[in-house]
Amino acid sequence: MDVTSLPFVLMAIAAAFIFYTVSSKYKNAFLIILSLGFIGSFNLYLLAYILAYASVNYFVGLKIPVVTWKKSLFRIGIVLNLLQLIILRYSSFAIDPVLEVLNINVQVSSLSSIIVPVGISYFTLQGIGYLVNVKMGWEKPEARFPDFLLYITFFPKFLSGPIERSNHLLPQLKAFKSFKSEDVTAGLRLILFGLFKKIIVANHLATAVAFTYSNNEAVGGLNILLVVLIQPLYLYFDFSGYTDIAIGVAKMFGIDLLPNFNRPFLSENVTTLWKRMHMSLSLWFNDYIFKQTSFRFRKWGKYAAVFAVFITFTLFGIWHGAGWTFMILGFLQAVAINYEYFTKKWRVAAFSRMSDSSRIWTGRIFTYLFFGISHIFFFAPDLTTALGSFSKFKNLSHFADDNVLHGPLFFGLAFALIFMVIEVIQNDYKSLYEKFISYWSTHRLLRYSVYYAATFLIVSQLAGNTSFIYEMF
Amino acid sequence: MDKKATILKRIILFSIPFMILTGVYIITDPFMVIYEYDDYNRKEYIHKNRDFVSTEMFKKNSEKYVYDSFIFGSSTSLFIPPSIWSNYVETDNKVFSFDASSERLAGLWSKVKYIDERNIKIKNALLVFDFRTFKEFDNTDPASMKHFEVYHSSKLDFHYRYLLQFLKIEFLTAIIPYKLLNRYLPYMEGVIAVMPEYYDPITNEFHNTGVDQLLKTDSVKYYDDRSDRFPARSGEYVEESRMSTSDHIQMLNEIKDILDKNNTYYKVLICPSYNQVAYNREDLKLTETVFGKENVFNFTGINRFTREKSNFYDATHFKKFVGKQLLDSVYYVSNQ
Repeated sequence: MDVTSLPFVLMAIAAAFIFYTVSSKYKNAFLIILSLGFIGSFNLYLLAYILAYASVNYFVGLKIPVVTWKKSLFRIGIVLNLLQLIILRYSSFAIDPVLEVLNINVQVSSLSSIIVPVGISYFTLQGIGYLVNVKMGWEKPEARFPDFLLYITFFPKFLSGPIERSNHLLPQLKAFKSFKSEDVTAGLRLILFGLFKKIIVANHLATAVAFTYSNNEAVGGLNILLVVLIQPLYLYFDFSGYTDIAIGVAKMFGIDLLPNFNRPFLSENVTTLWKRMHMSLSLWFNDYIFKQTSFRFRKWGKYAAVFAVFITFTLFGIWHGAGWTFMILGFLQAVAINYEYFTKKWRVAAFSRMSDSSRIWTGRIFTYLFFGISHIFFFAPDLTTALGSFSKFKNLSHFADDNVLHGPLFFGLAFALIFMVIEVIQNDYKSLYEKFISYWSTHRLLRYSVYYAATFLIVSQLAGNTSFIYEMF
Repeated sequence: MDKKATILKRIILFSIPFMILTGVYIITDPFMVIYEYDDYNRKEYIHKNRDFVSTEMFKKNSEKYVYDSFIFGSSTSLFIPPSIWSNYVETDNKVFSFDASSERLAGLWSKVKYIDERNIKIKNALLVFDFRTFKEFDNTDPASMKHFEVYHSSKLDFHYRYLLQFLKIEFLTAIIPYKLLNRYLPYMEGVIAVMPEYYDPITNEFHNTGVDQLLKTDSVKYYDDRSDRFPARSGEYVEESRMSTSDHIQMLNEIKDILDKNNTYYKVLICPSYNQVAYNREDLKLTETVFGKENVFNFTGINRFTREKSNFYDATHFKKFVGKQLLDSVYYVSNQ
């Protein structure tokens, strides 16, 4: 079921109201039925698969603290998690070529066309994170299978996160949830914002990006430059739009999901950017990969951190998909973060002569440009196209138009700019932002006019393709 | 409970304008997809879903007229009219043109299956292929969505997408002023249909009345005004890239099985296009392998049909006299 469709939104609203009429004893059962129904709407094999997946992780988690061979059991659990991820997500890249070399006529990747493993990259990290927490004694294993199943399958975050931590979501699932009008209105507001970001902003920026990569031979250096500037906004509004919808729907049920974005493009360096962008994923990698790796190699001194950054971000890149492009994307982020780490003193000294605002904005612009350029490896369908795009920079005078600079792009950019200006005010001019919020909350007519205009714009643009970038992971 | 009722009331109040718009859509049925109609030539200012209209006409008339001969294809097939084709095949009954906009092989396959499932004998068939036949099929664009009964797709999804089409700002801002002022304005282009056309309510034969009239009045002006619809040609051999997949092979075989079961007299005609790009050799070979070389006629590439601009209305749609010449080529050769 499409998350930006009217049926999904109407179903979510109706379900939220039914949820509060159901006795507290059956509330989680109701959410499980909804979530399994949602997953089943994609594929019934996936539904069966997710039940098996949750069962295995539940039993492994339950047994880790009580058996004598806990280390081995933990390792088995992690290997099973990774194995199913590799088979269903990376076999075309990691297994099939090997089998071909060995002359074995089996295509493991065909399994993924049967199971259609949507959301696998997300629920696998949740499963692994849970097992690590239990093994390390950071949390007790979940005793109730229905609650654990709901933790894995909770429908608002199933497709594309936020990647929940078991010790954050499970206690909320167990808590008694009474109707709070603030939760429902806050949830509805977030859904509206999310739909607006996705349908009005991201979808209108998408055409220029898609055109550039699908016509890579014909486009010129100026097209690539334009895309470098647009694609960060496209990615941000697409994914944060989805996240707002997910968090909003969960909020209507009285559940707070983890935040995923904190005004990332106001970061002054790449290190900070990754603490504010796709936060649930970057924090997961920070806690479970970076910290563990740098601890294990702590004898190496500061080089342990350098090594850990490379490992973390290369895996971070691979998490996005099988292919060299994603690996290079992660590697580039690691290079930038290490560069920032080693040149910090020098940079502080060099920039100290600048005024605060010039320094901040120089940092923001360079960070944004680095993100935009490195994400050529994210959007390009293959390495040849990505490298070809870089070679286009040699001829910046050529621009293939073919309706790239058309109304929809400017329409999307105009609203993106409005959102970004609001973020700057929220971040840099807090008192002005507070005044704005106080005016907003005391002027009902203004509020409802904006809600109406936004809803009408969304509804009028719902026709067409509405898939999310991060849905494919 | 009070809080819940208040929020619910607010949501309902907030939704009222959208409910009214939905009500207007259901009552007025602008795209003629909700109710059944005797004549789909009505609401001539609306671009209709040809797949839906053809199917509805077929459903309504098939018992009365006992069609036994069918032309299948995209809008290019409209220029091979049933009234002309019926002279080339043996039939006592009415011929039906089962066209659909941007028809892909999946649409053609589903129509042949649909007729067969209804136990209607296909005595003659003309399968009109073009450069789109093997292209990827997307059943989400309302202009070319398949009829849910034929394609066995979701009826709810079909109507949902049409409701969204009605709610599109481009549609509402064109249709409301057009209906109120009864006047066509340039910005309405693409939303409001201006060129008169007519479909025969029995055979579904297309009459391109508006365009034919323009050509009759001043053909030089017609081509000058539409120069952007005729792409430059290199004059050298250029071929489409291969588009057929394993799904296409399966569909082609199923079509062939049904035609064989019915002892159908059939031909496959691959339409000429002004750009002179030849059909992909692999796709052609596949088509010939399934249907037999003697039944497949390829008119793409550089040839006498694609030479003159005056043979075409635009880059892809040839004129009816060309359609007749194509039929001469197909059936003259076949009868040798």
